[in-house]
Amino acid sequence: MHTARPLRSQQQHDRTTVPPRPRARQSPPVRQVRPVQRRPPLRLPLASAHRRLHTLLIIVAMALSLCAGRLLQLQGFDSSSYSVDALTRTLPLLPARGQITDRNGLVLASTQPAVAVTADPKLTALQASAIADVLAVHLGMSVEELMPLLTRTGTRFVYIKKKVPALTYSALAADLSSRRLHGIFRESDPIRTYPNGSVGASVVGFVGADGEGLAGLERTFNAQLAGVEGKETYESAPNGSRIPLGRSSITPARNGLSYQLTLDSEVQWAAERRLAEQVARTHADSGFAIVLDIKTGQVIALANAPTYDSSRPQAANSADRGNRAISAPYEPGSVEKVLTSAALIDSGTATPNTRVVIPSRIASGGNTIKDFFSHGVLHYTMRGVIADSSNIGTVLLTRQLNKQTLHDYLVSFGLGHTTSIELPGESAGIMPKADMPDGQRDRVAFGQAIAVTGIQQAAAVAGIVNGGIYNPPTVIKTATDGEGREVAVPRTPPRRVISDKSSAQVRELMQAVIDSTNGQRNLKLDRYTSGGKTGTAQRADISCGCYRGYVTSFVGFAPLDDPQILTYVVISNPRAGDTGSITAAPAYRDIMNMALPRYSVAPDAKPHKPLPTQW
Amino acid sequence: MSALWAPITGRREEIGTISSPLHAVAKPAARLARFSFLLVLIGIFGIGMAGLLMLNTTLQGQAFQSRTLNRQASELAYAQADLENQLDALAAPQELARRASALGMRPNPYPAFLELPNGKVMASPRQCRATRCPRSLSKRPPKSRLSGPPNVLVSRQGQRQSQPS
Repeated sequence: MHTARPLRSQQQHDRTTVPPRPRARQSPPVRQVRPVQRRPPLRLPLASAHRRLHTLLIIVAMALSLCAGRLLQLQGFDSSSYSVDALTRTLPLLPARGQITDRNGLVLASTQPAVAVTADPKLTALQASAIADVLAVHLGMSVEELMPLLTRTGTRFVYIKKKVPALTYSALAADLSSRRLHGIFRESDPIRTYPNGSVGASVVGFVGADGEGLAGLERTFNAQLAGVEGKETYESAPNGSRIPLGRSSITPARNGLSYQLTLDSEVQWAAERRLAEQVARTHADSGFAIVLDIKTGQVIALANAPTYDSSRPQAANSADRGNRAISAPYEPGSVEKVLTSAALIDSGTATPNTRVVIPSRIASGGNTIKDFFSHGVLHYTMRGVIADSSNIGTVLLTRQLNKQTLHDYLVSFGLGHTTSIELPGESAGIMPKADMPDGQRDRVAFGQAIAVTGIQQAAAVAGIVNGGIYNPPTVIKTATDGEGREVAVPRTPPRRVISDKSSAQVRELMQAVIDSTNGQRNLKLDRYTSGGKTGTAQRADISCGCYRGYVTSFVGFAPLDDPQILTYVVISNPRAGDTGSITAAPAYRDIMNMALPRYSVAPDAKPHKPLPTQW
Repeated sequence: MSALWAPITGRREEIGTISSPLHAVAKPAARLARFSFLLVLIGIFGIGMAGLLMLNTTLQGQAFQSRTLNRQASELAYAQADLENQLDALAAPQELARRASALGMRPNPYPAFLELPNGKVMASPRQCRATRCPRSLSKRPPKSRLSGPPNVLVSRQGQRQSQPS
């Protein structure tokens, strides 16, 4: 018999189907659904695909609307705090200041990395005593000084100590972080160091607390030494920390130019010591010494006394923080006779053998001119006039020269305008006009009534003895930029001021000074032929508007026939000794004896017969 | 039951047209079961994320390493600057003179000269004795006041001092 299994209906298509009932033989099978006596089960109508889809879409829509809301908040309301500008930090990259070295590479001025130690009192107040103990050890300050700084109220920034070397700060920071003490920070504060101390200080100068040059070459070349700042931009999190792989760009800083000077530290030191000793011994107000390389016009040494230490300029008198050799004009006295003689010889007015009859005194411009030694009537050649430094003889010779010609010669020798040496505060001196009164012309001839600076006078004499070629004095040898490439330095070209023959004759006159009795005793260099001229000038005193005291000097060069080195020493207002031979010449001799072998000038002293000074 | 499979009589030609298309088809390509497929997807996703994470971590780690090395380089530069500074101070002429004087040396301005390349010796050197040598430079006494200020006339505020040689 066919007994079909009852087909399940659609409604009963689930697991809670009633199992088929066993067949009963007696009665035909009857389809019956026995009602189940229990709670109807919870039904999630997810059997329907539509409903599943709808639910999912609603969940996704909710999530998306949350995102949209956040987007609106970030972009619309808080956009400024999250903008690229706010989160991109810019750091300045500080350039390194250029170095200054001497002609042999010895460092005269350089920069040491250093920091200014700062504190945030809000963070340090909690552990102030522990921090103070650590700081006291590293910084050398006392705990009593530190505690008020670390616990100051009302500020979040306070300086603890400035100009702390970077190495010291590294040790300090390591110490603090190992003890987990916070609140000490730093900012860059480099120290300008002057390893040579006071040697060359009047040329090199010094910087102020902010690193700007205040004197000397530090000031003249401040912009070139300082360099150009760079910039670093990087992305940061809102709390300020740097994102390591964020976008960053760097414009590197351009370091300042470095200068190599013509100064020789050893000669500079010797000159400064010897000059200081003479100034002390003669109880003078001040003095200076200039050593020039005659062939090139380079300044080998420029010493001032009293001077200062570049790393402690505040310890010196403000009047001593300048450079008197450049900025303080004075009446040069008899050294000017060298210039006058050069004008006389080159213009053909006189020769070293020209005969002069010298009275004991001479009238000039309503006054009388005397010599420093009293005499009757003398019969001197021009050589004798210069060798014995007769003012009257010089006046008599100069009266034969046209005033305009004399004026033009003196201007061409560099008097009356600056020498364009690379130092600040140079004075031009006081040069009378070409139509000066006769009395003034007479006094200009032997070095009064005219004001010069030391460097002007030294360069003028150097030009005259250098075969007539005047080299403008300079202290800069080379300049190099931050990458080591050489940079051109502006130079003034040399010029001819007198003829070669005139120069030889002026040198002969200066040799006569050394050949004189006084010269042989006080001015001669043992192993070299040399020439020189003493000078004693009356000193103009501003306080009384009169002449009071003297300015004594000596200029000399060696060797005679091919001059290499010139030294000019000036002592201002010596109270013990009133001649250049006694006050200035001793320093000249020792400086020359030290400098000439150093520059490989071979000794050439030879006996010779001095030429006639009288007739 | 077998009636279902019995051919329906009277419709042989229709049955023929209906029954002939039936033939065995090739076995379809094996496809992952649903669960395994999900596992593979999760696996690929996980590997990708892990790789990305490792790459990022390595890069960040190298960035930290580079920062540490930079800091080390700065420290060494500070040490170098400090040493160079000390060296420059020791090379200053007054320092050399002080230490040379302490050893008993004195500056001698009378050397002999050697002319190159012919080797000719010019000028004879003169030994410098304290009495015979001119006082070329002020000399610091052998037992010097060592870290004192240099023997130069450095003026103090308002008063002038000179220190004896």
